[in-house]
Amino acid sequence: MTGPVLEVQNLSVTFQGDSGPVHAVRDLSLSVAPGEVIGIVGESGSGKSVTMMSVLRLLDTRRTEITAGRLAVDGRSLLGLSGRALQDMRGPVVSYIFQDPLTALNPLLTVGRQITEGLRRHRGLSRAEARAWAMDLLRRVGIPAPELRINQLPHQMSGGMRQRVMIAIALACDPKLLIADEPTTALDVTVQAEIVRLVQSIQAERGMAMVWVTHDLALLARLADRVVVMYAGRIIEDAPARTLYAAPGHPYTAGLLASTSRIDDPFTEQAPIPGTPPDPRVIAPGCSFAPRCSRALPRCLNELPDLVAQGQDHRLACFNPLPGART
Amino acid sequence: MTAVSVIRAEGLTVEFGVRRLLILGRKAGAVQAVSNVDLVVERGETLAVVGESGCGKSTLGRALLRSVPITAGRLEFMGRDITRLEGEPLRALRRQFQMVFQDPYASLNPKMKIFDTLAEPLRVHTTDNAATIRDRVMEMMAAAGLAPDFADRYPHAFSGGQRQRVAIARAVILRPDFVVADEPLSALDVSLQLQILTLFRQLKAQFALTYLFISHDLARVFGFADRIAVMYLGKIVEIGTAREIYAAPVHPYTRALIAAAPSPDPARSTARDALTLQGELPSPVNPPKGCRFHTRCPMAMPVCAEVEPPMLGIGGRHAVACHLVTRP
Repeated sequence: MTGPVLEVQNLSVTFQGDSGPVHAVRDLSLSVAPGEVIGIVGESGSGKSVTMMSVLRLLDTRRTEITAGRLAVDGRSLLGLSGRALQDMRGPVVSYIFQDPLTALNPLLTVGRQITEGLRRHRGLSRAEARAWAMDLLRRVGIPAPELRINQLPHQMSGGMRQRVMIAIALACDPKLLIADEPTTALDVTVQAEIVRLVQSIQAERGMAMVWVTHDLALLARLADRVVVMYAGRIIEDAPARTLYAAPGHPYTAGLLASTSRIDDPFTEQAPIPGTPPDPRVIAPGCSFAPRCSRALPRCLNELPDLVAQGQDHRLACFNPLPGART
Repeated sequence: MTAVSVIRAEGLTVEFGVRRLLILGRKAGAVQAVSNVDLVVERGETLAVVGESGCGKSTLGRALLRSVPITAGRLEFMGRDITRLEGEPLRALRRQFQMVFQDPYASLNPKMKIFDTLAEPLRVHTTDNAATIRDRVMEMMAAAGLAPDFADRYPHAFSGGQRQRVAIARAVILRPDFVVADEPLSALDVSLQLQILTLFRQLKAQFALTYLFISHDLARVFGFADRIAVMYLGKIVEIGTAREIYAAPVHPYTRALIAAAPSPDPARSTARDALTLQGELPSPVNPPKGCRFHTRCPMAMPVCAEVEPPMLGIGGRHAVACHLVTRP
């Protein structure tokens, strides 16, 4: 089987806000191959989390309008699926890890109960079997003394331990696709490094596909095969990691890279991107980044650049890309 | 050197009581959030205090501004002992001390126009008339990169980055002698972090400011700070110029922090995995004996569990508290 694990075609997500519609994601297409690790990078409000949450419809459907040409996981279309059918896919097919494990975990249930819930539901394991399995998972995610931890409540653990529990829950049903949404943002750097290494080793061992959503390009450098850059609800660049970091094509990608702190070269002065991200309630006719862009041409303000292939494996939405990127 | 240091702390200790018995309310123990810290901040310098959550860096910043009670030790501001200053003399001092907080959504009064937010310190602490105040506010807004028409708007109209500009402008408008910035970047997106850092740098040059810059992001402060102090569980474990610390970090904790910082270069980022920490921060209620870092230190020796290492100068302005240095 070589079909993509995740296929998204022409996805648009609109929220009904109090002051009019918010266009969170606009006409986004993306596919993830089996075993591939993709990084989605963008700033707050760029639509990166909303895109991934709309895959299994984790958004409040009463105030959200999701349209797509195709939305499929593991070859199965998700459009029009019932809530029940979607629930069956959460766990064995797609799993999520979120930024804040304290809000994602149930404060009233022991971690053991929360890990075994999915195992019993999706795999039909008995209570004892599920418990043994959960113990193995806790050990695998680096939790010392799992026989004690399994009976604890989330508040009895540190932030790093809770995130390990989240990872254990996400992995319990051996998903084909793991979506990690800023899972280390709330953690200290030394703990972040451990969690990243843990997820990486598990990903390599199981060969599952992974989408890692973050605002930090530095973090993705050690993780992703391919990096997708979002700005104002759209993908503006999509390239293999090596290409993207060495020769970014979109001026926004270059600006973001230039704004990222560089532990390998911290004393070179960096130039910030001027201005602020656009208001998602207002759709400009041209490129959303044009007002902040030093390479903007007159047409950039009036005409929307399509996301088009630039040679193999590289997509770019820019009328005046950086010269190094033309392949 | 004739200049007097802005801040001189000796043996500074801040303890918080921990109550265990809810009904009796008895003090069951104490957390030393800051433990016996010696620190000097020179006029015109930027000193970054770096460490992970719970290391006491924010409490240290507040103690230096006399915003939390000092349990023991001595604190001097411009050569004057302010350890026990109270009442009106302390209030008068507040004019020279300012703070910028992490969350620009919480630190601005939502019911105050930007103009009034910036004018308030002038109204409280100066005798300037309305026209002068207006001029000074508009001048400050320009220096902080805020458009003049923002003056009559409320904080809710602004993004996080713009609010942080307002918070910084308010802190700087009285030309304070000492500014403590407590994680002022960590609530902001990457592109805005660099904008705000650049603003701090510009204002420092323009108004000859002195900063204590508290951050968990070592990579971010190397190029910004003159000196860096690394804290772990209430203690400074290493201090030196940014270049000294970067070129030759000595303390295993400093080295672990540098190793853990990701680099935006796929080729280099996996090369520095050697020094990683095991386990998590021990409870500050009951800190480890000896060197507080020994429980997580990959290079710990038997002595580290017994004897607390003293802070020793190792050349230049570089000092470190580690037995690797005392017993090479």
